[in-house]
Amino acid sequence: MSRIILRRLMELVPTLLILSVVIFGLQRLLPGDAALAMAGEDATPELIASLRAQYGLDRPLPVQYLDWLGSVLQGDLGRSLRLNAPVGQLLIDRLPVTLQLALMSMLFALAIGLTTGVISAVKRDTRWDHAANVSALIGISVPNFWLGIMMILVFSVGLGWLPASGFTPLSEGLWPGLRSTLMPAIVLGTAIAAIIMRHTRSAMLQTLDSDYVRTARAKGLTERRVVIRHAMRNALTPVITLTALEFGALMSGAILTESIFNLPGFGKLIVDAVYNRDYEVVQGVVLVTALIFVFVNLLADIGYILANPRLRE
Amino acid sequence: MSAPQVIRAEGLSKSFVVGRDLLGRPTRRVRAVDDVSLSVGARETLALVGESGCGKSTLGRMVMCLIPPDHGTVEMHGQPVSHRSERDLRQVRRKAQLVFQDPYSALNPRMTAGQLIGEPLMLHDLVPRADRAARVAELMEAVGLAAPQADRYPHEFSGGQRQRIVIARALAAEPEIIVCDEPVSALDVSVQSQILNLLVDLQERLGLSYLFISHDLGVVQQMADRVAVMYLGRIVEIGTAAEVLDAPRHPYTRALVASAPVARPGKRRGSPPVEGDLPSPVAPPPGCHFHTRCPFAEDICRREVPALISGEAGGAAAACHFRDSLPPAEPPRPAATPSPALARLMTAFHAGSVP
Amino acid sequence: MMPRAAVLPPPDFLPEPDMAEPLIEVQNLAVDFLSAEGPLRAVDDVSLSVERGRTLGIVGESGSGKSVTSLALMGLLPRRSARVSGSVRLDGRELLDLPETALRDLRGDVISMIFQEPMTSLNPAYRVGDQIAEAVERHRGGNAAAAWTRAVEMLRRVGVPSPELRARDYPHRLSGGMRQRVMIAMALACDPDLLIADEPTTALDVTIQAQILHLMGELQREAGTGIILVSHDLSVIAETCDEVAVMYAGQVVERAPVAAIFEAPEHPYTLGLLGALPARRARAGGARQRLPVIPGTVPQLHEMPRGCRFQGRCPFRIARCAEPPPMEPVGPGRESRCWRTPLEALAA
Ligand SMILES: Nc1ncnc2c1ncn2[C@@H]1O[C@H](COP(=O)(O)OP(=O)(O)OP(=O)(O)O)[C@@H](O)[C@H]1O
Ligand SMILES: Nc1ncnc2c1ncn2[C@@H]1O[C@H](COP(=O)(O)OP(=O)(O)OP(=O)(O)O)[C@@H](O)[C@H]1O
Ligand code: SF4
Ligand code: SF4
Ligand SMILES: [Mg+2]
Ligand SMILES: [Mg+2]
Repeated sequence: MSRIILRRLMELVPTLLILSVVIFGLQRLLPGDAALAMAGEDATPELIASLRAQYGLDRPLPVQYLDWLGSVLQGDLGRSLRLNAPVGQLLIDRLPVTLQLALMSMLFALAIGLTTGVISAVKRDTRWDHAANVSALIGISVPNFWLGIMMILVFSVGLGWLPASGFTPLSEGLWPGLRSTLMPAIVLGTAIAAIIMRHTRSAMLQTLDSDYVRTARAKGLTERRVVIRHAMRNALTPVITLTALEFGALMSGAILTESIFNLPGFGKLIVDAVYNRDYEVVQGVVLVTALIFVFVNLLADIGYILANPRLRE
Repeated sequence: MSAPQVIRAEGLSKSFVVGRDLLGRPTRRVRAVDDVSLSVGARETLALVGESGCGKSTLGRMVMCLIPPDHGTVEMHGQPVSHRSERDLRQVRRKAQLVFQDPYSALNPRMTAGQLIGEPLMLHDLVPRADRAARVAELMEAVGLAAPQADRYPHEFSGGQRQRIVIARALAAEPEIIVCDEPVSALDVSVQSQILNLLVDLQERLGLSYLFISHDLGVVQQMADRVAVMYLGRIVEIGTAAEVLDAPRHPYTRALVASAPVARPGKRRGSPPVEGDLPSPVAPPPGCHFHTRCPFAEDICRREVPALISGEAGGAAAACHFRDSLPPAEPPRPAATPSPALARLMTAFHAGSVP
Repeated sequence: MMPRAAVLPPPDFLPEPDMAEPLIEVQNLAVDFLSAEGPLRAVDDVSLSVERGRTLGIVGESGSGKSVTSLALMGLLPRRSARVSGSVRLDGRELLDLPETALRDLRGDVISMIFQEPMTSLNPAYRVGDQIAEAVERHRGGNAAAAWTRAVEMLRRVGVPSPELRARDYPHRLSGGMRQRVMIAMALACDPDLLIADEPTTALDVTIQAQILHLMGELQREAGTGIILVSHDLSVIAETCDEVAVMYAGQVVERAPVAAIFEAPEHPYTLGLLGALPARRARAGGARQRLPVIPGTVPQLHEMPRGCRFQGRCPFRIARCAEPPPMEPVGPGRESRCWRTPLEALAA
């Protein structure tokens, strides 16, 4: 089994290399470079050239890439030219916000998606099932910003239960901390909950029709035990993998959600950075986001292998 | 047998990689077919029997040149077929056609019966475009389908009718030999006999040869002139149908024949003919592959591979060290013979009209 | 029905099962599946019975309702889409009236089932020992260790080599024959009175089939279990059963002791099936004989003829066959559903 995980880790190396080339390359392909941005609208060509030389932008691309990769591997993600701060520090400041948001919305999505998915499969073709399906359809089609605004109107403006914007770190208390990202997490998690619900429902329908579930029923087990022990165990493992893929959607959704709720996370950082052609920051955010995505999927894969006796050998 | 055989295969072997190491190098192989030779003459049916996974389908596909062998050669009418010659391959793939088990997945659901049957005519350019529809109608009638059914899609046919379409499609290429890979396994008894009769009729009318793959000894008995028995990738016995099925020599053939249930009422007592499972084809036992289950096995069986040759008395060739010294096989239990009254009743039933 | 005893038993005392009475008695069982075009009757007017220690074979072509009948006896048909009517009495208890919870207590304990597909009938996520032990724990209670011991013992009884080790294996490590042994071990773990085996060997090779059928016979002799063996293979039925029920298009068309079925079938469909058995034809003098066939195909559920369901394929058909023939006694211990019985008269 450890061999399989080792193999999975080895397969990660080319993925990461390609990822780094893509991140680096995309950056350099964009029109206008950092020197132009720094020098301002009406800078002389000489000034631009000297800035380029100063930041090494005049060297051949492969050299620049290796140079960049080298410093990234040492944990040096460069400096934000605009904010005049190390990119690493900026990321570390913003990471807790985004991570908290992402984890909370994923938990929300899993809790809602898995339970409704299982229930609607078990109660197939009943009112429960139809209601869950309609809700899932709505959940997928409602735009995030609209949902966000509606929730702010109801829960902050109307009822005054939750803050409309801003972030309170967990260090200032568990409940205030969680409260500040509760609404954004729900907004962000809704569509994903709907997707998970659909995956879960169809996977459960399939396993509930399977021969081994019939065998379990023939043993005289209670329906609860049949569903939980025999059907869910097999249905949910692939759903977890699919969910990990949804993590990508979640990270990009976070950008919009953070702007709606004015949360100082990765989303806000990258939007500002793109606006100002603050390349090093954009690169840093994309890189860390991609790494998180890859890591989450690795965990899901390993979980899948662990849950699957056939793959364990 | 002096005339060249329609198809002759010499020393065919094929292994598949089933496990790889971290760097993708093969670590485990299945020897699906191991040094097998056979030939099929004109108007002859050679049946290939054996348990699941013993390599029957792989052998059949190699004989048809659908997959290249690791070792060995295939000759058609005495002419060697080169796997590097596009022309040779095209030729073989027209003259040897495949009919396989599952009449459900063998047919493209989006093509009509007529299109399916007409496709080989077009691919091999056998019939001028203008005459194709007529030829399709002719083929459909040959397999017992009505020509007007040509516009229907596969799902509108029953399993037996679909197998007829598959057969008509094979016939369209004007083959000399058809490899039938479990052609009736998925069908009910009453439909099964319809298809078997059709295959026999076609053989007589068109002079076809069959390589007939099946695990059902009853079906094989009905169809085969000669029978080859496979076990774990090797042929263990080959001879005429009467030799192999009525007086099997090889202990495995005996077990196979004795295991087949017989339509004779009465509970069987005594232990089953062989104990144990088929060993894994990834690591087959050394020497004679059958020694792990063979009641006659001795030391030599674990060390040396027995040759596939006839015994002193002639007859079927058996790959067993003790082919000449084994006790005679128990005669297979005969099926119940119908009483005269029952026989008359059956004749009346099958004659189709009764007062 | 047996005459009532003069003294009624006390109210909470179930009468001792009478050995002369059948273990299970099915009367006029019918199953309708609800579909968009209205109910479809997949099983119609099926009556069967099995005694302790005896084997009833159910034989019939694909779609004739063998599996639906078996599942109906187990109470395993989907409640939403299937309507079951008639009577199923197990040891005198009416099963069709039992609430689901009571039925669950019987399932896997008093009445168990093995299925056709050994490859998919075991849960891939659990060790086979656990899957057997689960049934034991469910019905026999006791602790997990005792259930595990029982599982290992059952694996040994069904001839699995080194059962202590095999019990720890996951299903994918076992061959088809081994998995079917595991299924049998699971089904027999609580010493059921009735075992329903739905094509238990169809997916297996003949040498393994012979082993499994032999094993079922042995275990039956030891425990006196009643068996319903479903098969489409008349030869398997011939070698394993005491009684046979032949099904055609959802109905039992003939029921008789096994020898009688082969010696003197009393339904034209049975006659046709016997004739079509490939093994029966010996090759006479090298010439290949044509196999007798039953012309035509089985009617679909939605196009069932009103009268005899076999009329479209039956050479013995007469005008009266447009009326549905009843299932009627045609000899000692046998019944047939045909207007023209006894068939013997037709051969003259
Ligand atoms: N493409 C393949 N890759 C890997 N292994 C294969 C492949 N094709 C066949 N095998 C293996 O080769 C062996 C022989 O397979 P083959 O299909 O020829 O058997 P068979 O006798 O036709 O069996 P069956 O009766 O089940 O159809 C089996 O162990 C099978 O698992
Ligand atoms: N859940 C279901 N819903 C609707 N129709 C069904 C259902 N299950 C079975 N049927 C129908 O009932 C009929 C009898 O099916 P059944 O599975 O009992 O046949 P069988 O005799 O077991 O055939 P086989 O030999 O193919 O297993 C078939 O026409 C089938 O299509
Ligand atoms: S060679 Fe030996 S093991 Fe093989 S079949 Fe003959 S007696 Fe049995
Ligand atoms: S009732 Fe008539 S049609 Fe039906 S089986 Fe008997 S003779 Fe044939
Ligand atoms: Mg095959
Ligand atoms: Mg069935």
